[in-house]
Amino acid sequence: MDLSFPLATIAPTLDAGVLHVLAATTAGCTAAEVHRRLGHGSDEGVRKVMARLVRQGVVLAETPARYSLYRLNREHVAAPHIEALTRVRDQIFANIRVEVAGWQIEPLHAGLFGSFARGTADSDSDIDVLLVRPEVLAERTEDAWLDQLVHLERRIRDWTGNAAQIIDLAPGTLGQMAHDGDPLVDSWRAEDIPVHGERFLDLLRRLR
Amino acid sequence: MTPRRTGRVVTCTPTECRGRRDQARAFLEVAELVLTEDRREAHVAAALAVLGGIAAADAICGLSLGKWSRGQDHNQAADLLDDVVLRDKTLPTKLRRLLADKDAAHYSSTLITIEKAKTMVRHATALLAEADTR
Repeated sequence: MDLSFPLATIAPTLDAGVLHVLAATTAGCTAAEVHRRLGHGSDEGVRKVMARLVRQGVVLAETPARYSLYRLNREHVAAPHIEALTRVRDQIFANIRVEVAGWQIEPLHAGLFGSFARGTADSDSDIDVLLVRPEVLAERTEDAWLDQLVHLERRIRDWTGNAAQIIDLAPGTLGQMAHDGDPLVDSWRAEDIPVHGERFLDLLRRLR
Repeated sequence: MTPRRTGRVVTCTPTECRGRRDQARAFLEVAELVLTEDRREAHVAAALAVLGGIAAADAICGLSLGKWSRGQDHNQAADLLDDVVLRDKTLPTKLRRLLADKDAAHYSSTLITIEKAKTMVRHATALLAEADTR
């Protein structure tokens, strides 16, 4: 799934983009403004998409002045479904939180980072997950821990069609990386979206 | 149902499979040798563990199913391993984590510690043990 434009899952890319822009606002937008916010496609392409969506009734057009203003018709029966698809990112976060909260072996910290966390992921992007293991993970429970990780990878692929990249880290390794000034720790510090457990910054302070 | 990865799965002979098993053994013998306290060596041991794990998985699949994965995506080998009746049912998970740990190393070399490399060698050794029973 293109995680930046989840509507593209079910609609052509330009249509998905136009609906995504209109769903984000209650104010009317000119076609030129929609094109500018979209950042791709042609001006003519956007106008054709607008005309098609107006014919279908899912977009309303008003011409109070020289240019038409377009807005999503929130009374249309398809509108709640369109809006729900623009909130898919939130749903993915929620699903991952629920999944990890149900684990028998809890991580010290679970968080999302990378392009998905930044909101720039596309259909080829992995969903990056940082997991910090419990302080003590006996060899006999390691298999159960790994099963949790593999199950989460499967579920993320089921939910999105995108692969998960899970970094499974011992607390000692994280502490050493922070001590060494590893740039990856700076990325996590900047991007980490918490999913479960101790806040990343609190954990870092404790491990130093 | 999780979408299965597509790629090349080809038939193989028992002789070829035993050859892959021998390769796995050789990779893991060297991995054990390089596991020292010198942190640089952890990457070598980890890389050898991944190679050994994949080779052992190929041997298991080949000797059990008469085919193995030749696709670019090694996770397909783990999918194929799911089709084998295994004595150690944790092996597909261990192979998937080997491959994931290899990918994670692209983010930062410090992710492969001596302890991580030892774990990876242990997982690959479990795969070889299964291949030895075929």
